Amino acid sequence: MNQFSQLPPQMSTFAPDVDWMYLFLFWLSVASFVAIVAVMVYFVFKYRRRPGVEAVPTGHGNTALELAWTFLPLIVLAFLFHEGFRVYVQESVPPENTVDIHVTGKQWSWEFTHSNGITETNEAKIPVHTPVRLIMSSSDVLHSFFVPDFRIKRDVVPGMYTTLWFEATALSTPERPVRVFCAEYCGALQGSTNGNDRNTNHSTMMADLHIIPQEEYATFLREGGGPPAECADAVDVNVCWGQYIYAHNGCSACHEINGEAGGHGPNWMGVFGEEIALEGGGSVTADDAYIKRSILDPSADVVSGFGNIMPPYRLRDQEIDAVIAFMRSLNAQ
Amino acid sequence: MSTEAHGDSHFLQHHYDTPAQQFNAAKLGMWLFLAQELLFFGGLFVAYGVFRSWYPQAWVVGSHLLDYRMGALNTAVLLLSSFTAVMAVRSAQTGNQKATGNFLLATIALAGVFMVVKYFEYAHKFEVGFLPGSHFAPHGVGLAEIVEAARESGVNGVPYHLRTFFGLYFVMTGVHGLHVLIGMFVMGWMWNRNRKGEFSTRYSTPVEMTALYWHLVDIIWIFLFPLLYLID
Amino acid sequence: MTVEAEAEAAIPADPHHIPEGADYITHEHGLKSWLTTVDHKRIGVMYLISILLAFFAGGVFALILRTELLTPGKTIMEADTYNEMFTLHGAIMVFLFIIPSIPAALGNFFLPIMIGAKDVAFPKLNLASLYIYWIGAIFTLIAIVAGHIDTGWTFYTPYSMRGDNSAVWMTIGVFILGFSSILTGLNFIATVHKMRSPGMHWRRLPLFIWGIYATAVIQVLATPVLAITLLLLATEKIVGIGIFDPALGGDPVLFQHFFWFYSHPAVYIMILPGMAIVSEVIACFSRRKVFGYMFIAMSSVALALLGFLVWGHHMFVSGQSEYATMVFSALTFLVAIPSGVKIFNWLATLYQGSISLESPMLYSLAFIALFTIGGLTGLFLGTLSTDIHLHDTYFVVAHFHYVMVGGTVFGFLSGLHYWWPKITGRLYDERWARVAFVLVFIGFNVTFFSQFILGSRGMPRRYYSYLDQFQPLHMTSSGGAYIIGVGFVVMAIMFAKSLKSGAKAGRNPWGSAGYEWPHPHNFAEQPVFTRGPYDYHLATERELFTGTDEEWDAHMAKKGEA
Repeated sequence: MNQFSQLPPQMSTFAPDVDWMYLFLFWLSVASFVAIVAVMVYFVFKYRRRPGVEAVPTGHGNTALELAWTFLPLIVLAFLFHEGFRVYVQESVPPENTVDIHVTGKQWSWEFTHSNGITETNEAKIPVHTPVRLIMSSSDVLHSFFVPDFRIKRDVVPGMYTTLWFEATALSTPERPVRVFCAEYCGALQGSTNGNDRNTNHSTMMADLHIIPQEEYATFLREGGGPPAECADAVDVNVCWGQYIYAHNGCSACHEINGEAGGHGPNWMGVFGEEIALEGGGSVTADDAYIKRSILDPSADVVSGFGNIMPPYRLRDQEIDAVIAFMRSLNAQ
Repeated sequence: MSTEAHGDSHFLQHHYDTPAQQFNAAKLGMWLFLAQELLFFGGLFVAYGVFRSWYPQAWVVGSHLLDYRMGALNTAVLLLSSFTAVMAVRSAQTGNQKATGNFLLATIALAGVFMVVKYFEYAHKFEVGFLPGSHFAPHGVGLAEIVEAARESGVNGVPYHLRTFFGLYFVMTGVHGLHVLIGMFVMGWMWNRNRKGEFSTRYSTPVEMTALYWHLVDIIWIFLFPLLYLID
Repeated sequence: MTVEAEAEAAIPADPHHIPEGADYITHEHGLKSWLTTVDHKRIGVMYLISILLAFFAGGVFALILRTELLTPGKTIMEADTYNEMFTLHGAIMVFLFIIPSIPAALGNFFLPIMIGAKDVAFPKLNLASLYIYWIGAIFTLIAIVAGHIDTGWTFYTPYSMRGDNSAVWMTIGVFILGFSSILTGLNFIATVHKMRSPGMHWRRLPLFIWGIYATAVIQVLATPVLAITLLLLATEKIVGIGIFDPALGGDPVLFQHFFWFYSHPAVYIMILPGMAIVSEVIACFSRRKVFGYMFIAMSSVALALLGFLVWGHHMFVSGQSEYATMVFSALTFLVAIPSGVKIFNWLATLYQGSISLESPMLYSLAFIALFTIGGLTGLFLGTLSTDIHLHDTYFVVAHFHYVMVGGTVFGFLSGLHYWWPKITGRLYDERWARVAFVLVFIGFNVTFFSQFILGSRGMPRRYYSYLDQFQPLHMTSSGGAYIIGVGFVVMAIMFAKSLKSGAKAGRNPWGSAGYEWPHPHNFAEQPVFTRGPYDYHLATERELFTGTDEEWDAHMAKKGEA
């Protein structure tokens, strides 16, 4: 990113139109501001108070002048409204044959469900040069889906659907994915957090969009998603995949893996296979079945000493297996 | 003679030049107050309109669940009380201290009747579980009433947003009822000032302003009654 | 009893008659005499002290926020504490400081004097409004102490439905503050309509009064809608009536409509009085009647009316219908017209004037420059395509601070410096006033201009943490905030010194032709106005004399000798 650029990189078909308008307004503002301040400074200097020089009484004003500066700006304003509205209409009306992705905002993560039923959390594969429509809703409070690189934004509201569409114009790199922000204030986890942790409060409710070639997205829709590319060479692909999910889906916000106390949820190290006490009495063995239930329906059996604060996660069976494999591997350490 | 002059001299506050100026200022102030009251209730009416258009079935069933006879009785009571309020003003302007007091008492009594009727309406709804929003839990007689009301209005089942209807019903009539109570209190105060002989043919502004307020309370009910009880 | 005697008896003693040699501050002593006063000047002073305390509190919260934002991630506090801090900063600044600042404090003091009235129309109601303000402030304090208020000053549902009951306390506090505002507005409208002295016709009304009058109309007509909204919100939270909470079948977007139906007009409650002061100050320091007087007066009224029609521009991305968005965008552009008219007329007033640059004038000229930036950046936000990108980013934060601080607060400071000698009877040290001005002006621009760039680059607002790439701009912004802080400390010391040991002010230290100056405090007798408030060529030498009464006597004696 250019250090001195006022605007983020242009990654969607809307961006050039929006930026043109932005820069037009920018230079219009600079010109108006300089003119007004120059006149002001000139008058203040020219008519500074001097002995023996009286102010000239104002008289009855100048109706022609008043009407001119009342109505001439209207022309400029009408142009601004028209141009802004024109682009807005394009942004509001998606074309036919879009690729649809369902988005759910929840405190403090984003879920993307593709048409093949696969759900990605806090990241999503997006085909390049393809109109994509997002059908969005919230499962708790207001959020707002904001992608600066695309110049798009729309509130995500509980109890109703809002939509957004865009067409990405370039592939993203793994180092610099297209970042999604939440632009509507949605609170924070109470108490201590590491401020920079992803998905612990409004300011870290982020997701990464990976803009991939159309063929790659088509393959993904057909065959489903496997472990990420970085796990291809891992000793145990499942453990690597589980660790990837742990890091990218927001687990790490509450669950430590170092065996030390602290955190909003149970520590994962050394928990698998153990007998654990439950909130409200009773106990359960932390086996595969229990872990799976706790991911899909966290309120079912809450571990003693912890609040029921975890939202349900829609992971696929393979992903749950990977998470379990990762937890197991922590026991071995 | 001297006592009368003494009584009069108190009413013109030092910062006014003439009694007319003082009266006009008071009248303008009161009308502005009424304007803000209208906007205050206006918010409730807008909410009513919005939800009515979204959930018409709940609104139809809801209005059937309110007892229009009690509503009509209260409408008559309030209209009558507006009349007695006007008569109180008239009596004050003509210097009839005794009549002023009596008409004020009559207005307070009618307002009391309104509140008693309201009490019976509320009590019934609390009993059968027609409570606002999240507390909505009709049972026994209440359920039977809903079935009956739904049949009358041709709606299948119990509309979910009946709870919102009762939420708004309680807020709208509750805020209005609060205004009635405030009106009763102010009229009691006016009655006391009248008893002490503070009003005369030359000065009856407070009674007039109180009556203006009372008419507003009346008019708001005139809107609430058909909107909540009558319209299908 | 004779008619004359009766008429005499009908004029009661003036309860705040000020004897010769005393003034409104010294003629009665003790806390009780202040708390029970109905004198609009004393009430204005009590408001002034109250809002300055609120401004101090809100300012401290602002500095805490900017300190936290020095680094991404945790600097001095946790995320939830940060959320609480920005909520308190916003709520205190909006409801306890800016809205009552100019109308309730300076308006109370000067409105009756400037129209030749002895007091506002309803003095007791005026005192009651102050007490209501205090009660509302106590409720907001309870919200701070009793719990964790982190809803933002906008109380958006359903977020505000969660969490503890401090939101209810805050809501009730703001509800009560609203009635203080309504009653003050009502009082001012009645005063302007019914209490003007002979000769004070509408075309002679000082522009300060026009601005306060337009403000009062909005206060009376918009605030009740906020009141009912907050009442519904509190009821929703306590009982759950199902209006705003989607979990109960309510609609959060409806809440936003209700909220902004008040809170957009509230923006004009905040800015119109600032503009009103600028009109007074520019006329005085140019020694010239404001150019296009009726256009400035009517543009205030136009802004007040337009203010009611544009609330939807806060909701372009909220999910409201496209048609609503189109209409609100078009109407929003109309707001630029009366704002521009004011700026052009102020500039034209400078033309052929006799301009001096004392501190009140510096603040007013700064107002013009900063408000111009605030207004021009408003175009970015009214234009739909750019607003979609900029909405809820730091660009918006910078925009409204340019309008609310660069506009209203600079206007307020201009008025405070301008009328300080009238209120306190003392002069202040002009050199230190200018030092404070320079610090505040520079600090303000450093703080908020960098936020325009942050916003354009996609930095959303109300963020506790941010991407590393934004840190240089955030540090710049925080640095600016500290400069503002130092500026206000200098100003506070300067005013405190003036109170303690400032030179005695003459009746009219700026040589203004305004009606509020030539007489000590209120007019002793009901005046008959024979010239306009800006007719410098018609004012007498005595009226424009800037020195003290003693100096005037000396001046006349010298003239007599000559």
